Amino acid sequence: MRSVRVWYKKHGPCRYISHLDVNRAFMRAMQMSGLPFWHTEGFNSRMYVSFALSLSLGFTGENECADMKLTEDSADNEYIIKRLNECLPDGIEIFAVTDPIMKPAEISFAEFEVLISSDHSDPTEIQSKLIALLGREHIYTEKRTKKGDLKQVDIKENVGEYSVTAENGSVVLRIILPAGNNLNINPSLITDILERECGFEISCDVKRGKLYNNKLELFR
Amino acid sequence: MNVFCIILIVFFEMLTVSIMINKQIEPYLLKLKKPGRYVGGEINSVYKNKEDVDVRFAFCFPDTYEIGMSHLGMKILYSQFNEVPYIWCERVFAPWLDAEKIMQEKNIPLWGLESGEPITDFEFIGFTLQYELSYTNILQMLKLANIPLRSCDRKGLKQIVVAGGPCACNPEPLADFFDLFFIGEGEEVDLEVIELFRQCRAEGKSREEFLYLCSQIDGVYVPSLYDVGYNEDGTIASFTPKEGVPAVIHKRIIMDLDNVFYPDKFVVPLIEIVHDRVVEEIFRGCIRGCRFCQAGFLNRPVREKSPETIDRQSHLLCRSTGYDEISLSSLSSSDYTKIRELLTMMTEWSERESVSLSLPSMRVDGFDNEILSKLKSVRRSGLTFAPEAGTQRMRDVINKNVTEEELMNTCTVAFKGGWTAVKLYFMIGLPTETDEDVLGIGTLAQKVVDAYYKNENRQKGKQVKVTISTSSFIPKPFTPFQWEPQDSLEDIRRKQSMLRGHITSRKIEYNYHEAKVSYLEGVFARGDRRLCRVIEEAVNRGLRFDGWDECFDFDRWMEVIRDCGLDPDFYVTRRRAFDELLPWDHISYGVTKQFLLSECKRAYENRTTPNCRKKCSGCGAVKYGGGVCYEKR
Ligand code: SF4
Repeated sequence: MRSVRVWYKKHGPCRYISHLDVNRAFMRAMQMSGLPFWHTEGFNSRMYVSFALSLSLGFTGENECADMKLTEDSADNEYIIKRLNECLPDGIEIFAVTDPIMKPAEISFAEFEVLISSDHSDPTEIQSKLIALLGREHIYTEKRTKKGDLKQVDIKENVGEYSVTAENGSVVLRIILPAGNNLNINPSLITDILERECGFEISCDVKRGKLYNNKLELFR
Repeated sequence: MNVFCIILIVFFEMLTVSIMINKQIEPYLLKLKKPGRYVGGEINSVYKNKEDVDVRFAFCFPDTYEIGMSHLGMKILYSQFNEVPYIWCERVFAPWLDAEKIMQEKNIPLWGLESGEPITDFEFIGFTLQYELSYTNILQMLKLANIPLRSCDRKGLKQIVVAGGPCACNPEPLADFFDLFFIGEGEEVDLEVIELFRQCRAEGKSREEFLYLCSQIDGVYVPSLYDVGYNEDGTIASFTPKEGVPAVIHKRIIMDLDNVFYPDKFVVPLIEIVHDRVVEEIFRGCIRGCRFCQAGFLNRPVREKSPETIDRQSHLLCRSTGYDEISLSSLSSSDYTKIRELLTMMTEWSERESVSLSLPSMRVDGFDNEILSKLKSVRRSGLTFAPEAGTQRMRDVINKNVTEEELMNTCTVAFKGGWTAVKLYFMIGLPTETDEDVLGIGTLAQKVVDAYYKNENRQKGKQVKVTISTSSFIPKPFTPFQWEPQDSLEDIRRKQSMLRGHITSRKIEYNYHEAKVSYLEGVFARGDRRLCRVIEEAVNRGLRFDGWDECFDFDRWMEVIRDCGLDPDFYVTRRRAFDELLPWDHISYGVTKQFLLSECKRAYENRTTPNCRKKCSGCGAVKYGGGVCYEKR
């Protein structure tokens, strides 16, 4: 038995499908591939695949990963990449297969790149509003907890490094935010406040990049 | 090295131009419920270079993506068209209300999922007609595509709007909108028409000349080439073909299912759809001859695929899609003559590859433990049977040759096998039905409950649950009941509440179909050309997605019908005389009108007719020269 961590990008048409749909696409690709993937035991036996961190519908992912198990050591990583890519839809694209080093539960932060634009205003206005917003001492918002009730959180407390620039007619926010089992700050929490304060509709294009552990070491 | 790079770059460019999300809708996608419906890009979808093809074909399913993508006929034709190098067939579905609104506001014409381009100027726009309540969606889709609704308003050799599917058996309510209908099975005739189109275009022929030539092809109905005259009472007085046009249109039929095209790939949706699995057709038609069942009469005679073909095709499909479930599809799966052989053959690899098999549409009498043990999915979905009527007399009238004893035996086997839930389907409003027949449904359900408690090995502490569902009977063209009146709303409601009152056990759950929906369906099922105006007006007043609760607006519909000067009861609750000229009489599905008539009369006498395997009853389908009619009895 061999565990592998499969790294992939999610974009194009697959940007518009849910995490559950991605899960099903992987199951089918694994089934189609004919590779010796391990099945779970029990009556409803299924191919085992476990995703490190779900990605919201609408976000693109640059550095997503999922763990799988192979019952034989024979298949080499390059072949797994090639074969699975043949079986996955356009928009899910595996670029690496590695041995899992950290546990997915260790993931604590993720890097995001948010492209913000609007038909109603030029980027400089949005840019200055966003800089002002992120410069505040506290940024309070309400967030649903796992139990389902609303809780006040201070986003600012959890914001890591960030930068705001203007590029090709859009504002680009690059930011590291908590992501993982303990605390998740979705960048849309920030852009929602921004939109409210701007008073006009903005459109956001969110890309999730690298994942980190709680010491901000790269998740591997 | 350089050369290698160039090749790589070109290759990548080809890849990137292939998948095109419609650019106009893309900025709004994230505002929509299920944006995955509108992006394409699925495994096995087909991308071509539009410069390399002659004919663009928009295959339209007049309902949502999830419903359309579950439909087998679409998968077959999509693959078959795209096998032809000069055709590019793309899929188009009815945009849901949220997307429709944005398309209207922002002027975004309806597009094909593959190219992302508007279908407005495509050569062919094809619709599949699966149920009457999707008719408004057809017009709505044409509107969204900026295509003139009426065939007389479309010019030149493009925008040829065609349709096929079960509802094409009575195409009259849609006659003004379509250039032609395919009658019967489409696999061969569709391509003949497209090939003819290419020829006509090369020879510089006109649209009219092309359509006339189409009318000469067997199985093609060009409605504009016929004139209809009406009597004072609204019935049809005459149906006259133009010169040189055939008076009767005969259905096309495929006799050899082992050698007809079947796809080795299905498009695998990115989002979850209604039937998300491999569907493998095992035979067409039905030997049974239930008198209410239109599909049974339209698809005569029964033709089977060989177990080897089914085995090979479904295995290939599993490999090309990654699905781990196969549904063996037909109108009555347990009537497949080589079912044991087939299941043995398939389980040899399906178990090893963790693929499960399911057999929908099982008959009550076709159920045994050996078959069940091979069908894993039965366990998941629970047991479903369709006795259709509550008393033996009523079942004899409709020729549903199932006895109470058979049902009880089956349920007992099932209960012994550990099942605790049974679903039973019935119809109310059947011809000659009495209150006793309706109450019989409740009585039968109670007997099933009792059968459970008679089973000594039942699991302690587990309760039985019997769910009964009733739909309202809608008389359909080409069945022995095509002349019968449909029950009025009041009749149906009275019967529903009477039955509800009759059910006392808490172990029985009763569900029923909304009577108004069946009533509206009844208007179109046996409608005539005068309804074209009604449908157009309904769409103009904002009606569409009539099959959906969110949109179904009965009162509005009745208003439209009356405003068009028509009486809905004329179509629904009126008894037709046996010698009346029916709107679909110019179409032939191989079963003779005399046969339907004699079946209707036998129904009145509570007499059943044996199934095709027991005895041939001379329906007329023998003329196709094959299938069950030539089996040894
Ligand atoms: S001709 Fe006879 S055997 Fe053939 S379909 Fe008709 S009734 Fe059945």
